[in-house]
Amino acid sequence: MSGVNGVSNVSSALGATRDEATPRASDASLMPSPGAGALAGTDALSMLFLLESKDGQDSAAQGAGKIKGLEIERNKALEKEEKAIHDQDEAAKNKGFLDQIGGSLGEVAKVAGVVGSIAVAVGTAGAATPLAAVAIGGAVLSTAGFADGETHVLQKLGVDDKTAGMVDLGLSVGGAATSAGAGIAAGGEAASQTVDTVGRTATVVGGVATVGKGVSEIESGQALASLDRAEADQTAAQAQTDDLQRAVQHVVAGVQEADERSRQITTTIAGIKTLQQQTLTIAASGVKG
Amino acid sequence: MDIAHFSASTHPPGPVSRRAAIEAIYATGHWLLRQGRTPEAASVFRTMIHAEPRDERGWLGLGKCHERVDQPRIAAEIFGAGSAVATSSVRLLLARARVLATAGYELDAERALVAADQAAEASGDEELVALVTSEQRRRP
Repeated sequence: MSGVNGVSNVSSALGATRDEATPRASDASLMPSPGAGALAGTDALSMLFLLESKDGQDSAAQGAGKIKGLEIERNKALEKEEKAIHDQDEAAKNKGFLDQIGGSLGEVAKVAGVVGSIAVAVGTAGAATPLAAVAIGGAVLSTAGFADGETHVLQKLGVDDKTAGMVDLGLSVGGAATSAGAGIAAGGEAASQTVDTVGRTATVVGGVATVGKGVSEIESGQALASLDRAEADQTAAQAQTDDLQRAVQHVVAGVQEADERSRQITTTIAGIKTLQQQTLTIAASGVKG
Repeated sequence: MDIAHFSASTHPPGPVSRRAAIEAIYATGHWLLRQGRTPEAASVFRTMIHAEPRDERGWLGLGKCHERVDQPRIAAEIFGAGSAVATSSVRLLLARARVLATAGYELDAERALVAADQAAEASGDEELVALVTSEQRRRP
């Protein structure tokens, strides 16, 4: 596949004068050029490594507690969702169920949002930002993509060929680490709001139920059609639950992977330092020679 | 130009800011990508994303790596995730629009382009507005 966005010249950053292929005119770069002298610092990577090591220790200490808390919260949320679905069934048995079904489905959607919010809690360890979850998710997906190939990875995540982006579906990068992380990061305080008021991605987390609620309100005079719809919505809600369970499992995996991530970063930075040394040596000897 | 001063041997290790470290990481990944060393570049950009998730450049670089290995949908995910955390990034929205269009997801690409246009207008940055305008002209 041809480059969608080119890579602008990096010579200034390295201080070298390599004349690499100029991006095509129609392939304008979206990647900013590194700042001049960005690699002139002597031991920036070591500093970053130290910072990451500290973060890694913090993460490891909190990981076990987060996972345990996740399991409890997830079970509670699923119990609530099952109850909401059960209530929906009961409502369908009554004559005036159409008046109730909207509220019931709304509850399903709201609970689904809570399940999604757990991923944020896991990713942030109670901190103010889900950025770590998004970052881990993105890196996990990237690593898996390089290792297993795009199609295989997307199939494992249950994404078909017609789906342009998991982010749009609220499943997002890395399965869950990002799914909930990116979605709710984009959508605001989804956990504390009803699905009707959250952003697009978070809405999709509970989207099936939201659609069902709207349909039930619009078609309240069409009993038979609405009953069919309610049954379909229930089935879809269950499927949504399955997706969310899978997503949350990915979050757990992402957290467990945090320690491994720290080790990988150590290895990566060590490799970068070697590359940097080699690059500088080559550049220097090229000029001298 | 004498660039021998870039040799690490002439620069003893010393304290640097985190910002400088990020710049060094980005410059390294950018250079590796330009050299065609895509897997290595991806590792570097992943490291950058972990270290500074709000920096759009890490996401742009990692997504670009996946484009290079013919993985447009993963690239789209990367750009999308980046947009979720670097919320005002016009470049990420544009990159996503491009890769989705290339992969044949025209409607999604159009949505991303509209979002990029809105973000660029909101930013008031002439360069970003020009980038979006250029992209719009390229499209059929």
